[in-house]
Amino acid sequence: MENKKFKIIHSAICGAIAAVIFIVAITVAADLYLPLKDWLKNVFSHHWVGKGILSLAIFGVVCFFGWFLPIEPSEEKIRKILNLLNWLLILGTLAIFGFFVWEALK
Amino acid sequence: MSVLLQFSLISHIFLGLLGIILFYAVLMVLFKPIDFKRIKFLRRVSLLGLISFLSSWILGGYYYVVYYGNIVKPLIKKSAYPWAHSIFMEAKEHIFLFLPFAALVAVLIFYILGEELEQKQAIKKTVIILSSLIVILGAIMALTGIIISGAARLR
Amino acid sequence: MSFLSINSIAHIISAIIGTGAATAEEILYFKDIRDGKIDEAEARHLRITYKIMHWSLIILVLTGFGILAGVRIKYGGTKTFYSPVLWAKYTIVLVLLANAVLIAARKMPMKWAGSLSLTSWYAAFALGRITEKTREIKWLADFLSKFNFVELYLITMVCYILAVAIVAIILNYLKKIIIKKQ
Repeated sequence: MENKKFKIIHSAICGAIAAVIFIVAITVAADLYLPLKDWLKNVFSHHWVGKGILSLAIFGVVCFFGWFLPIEPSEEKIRKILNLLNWLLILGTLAIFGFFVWEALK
Repeated sequence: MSVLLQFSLISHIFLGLLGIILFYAVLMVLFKPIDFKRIKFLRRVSLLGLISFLSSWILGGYYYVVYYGNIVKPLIKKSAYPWAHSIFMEAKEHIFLFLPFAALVAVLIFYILGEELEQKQAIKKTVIILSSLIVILGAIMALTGIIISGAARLR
Repeated sequence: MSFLSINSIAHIISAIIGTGAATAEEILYFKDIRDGKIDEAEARHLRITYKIMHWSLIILVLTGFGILAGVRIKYGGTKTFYSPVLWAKYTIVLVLLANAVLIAARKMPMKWAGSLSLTSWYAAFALGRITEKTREIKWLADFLSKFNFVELYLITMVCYILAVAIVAIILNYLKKIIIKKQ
């Protein structure tokens, strides 16, 4: 029972990590490679809407497949992966701010 | 600005703030030992916080897509503060996307682990850090909102 | 009554109540610490004033943003949004919130917690009044316009830090005298 609980939490955290990484990646990529931004605009009517929908999709997919991974999550593993999410939130924020400052200055 | 857009902007601000305040309350309770009463509070409040962030996302998104892009953004770019859009708005609209996912993780942990969280101090400590980051990122979103609004000078 | 007026009135009322509660908290604390300790009944009173401060702070934040939203919709962005005095006020409100978190986490030394809280409430109140008076009093507006954003923000923050330190020294000295008298 505890294993099942840990597995759900582990999958959700993996999904969140994937979403955060994806948001940073697509933010930078779409600004550097304009055809990607145009593609997002054409498919989703607005690039930002596309980024939001795709990040939700990535979260869902990674969560779903995370459930089937042959991992035995423990308290320690949950702590480590949650720590990783915390670090990615900080680094992702700095990366996005840094990127737009760099773009504004160039 | 139409009444619907005014409503969207004001609701976006208040719902975002509500999300931040609710996770601030979550953070304050997490410093205490978790019992049956407190886990009920954590579950309800974190879920409300998540709903607030999601609602703020939708309403802010509506204002952003329908009005900001065509009317406000050109004003800001022409003003003495174009960096308000090119740095702060650009950063804000993307960093904001982190919040619902971070909040959802917190909500799931409270609902799934419940009072057991008190026995798993290692996880509890990292959830405290997660909740702190949600509050801090939310505060950054609110403050950048002030910077962006300040640059949209109509007179 | 407009959205802006409702938020402005609620903001001022919360500021008065919050500052009053912070003052009451310190007075009660000094009354309770006379015997060298705080018992359960005394702690209950302090919790009440603490809760009032917390709720006042939440209403202040909400109505503060309500005022900004009202101004934004009515007038567009204005100089107010980039006022260094207001940004100093926002910083002080963040300090108040962080202080509350650190007290809850038992990471804030008590000799600083009281002075930080009391000084911050009065400083935020004063800065809010200064911002309002700048619109009405010409010489004040002229004086403040001599400084740029960074200068005025730093001057305000340095004055705030000095005030916190002075209040901390006074409160700790008073505490020593009161406990020594026992």
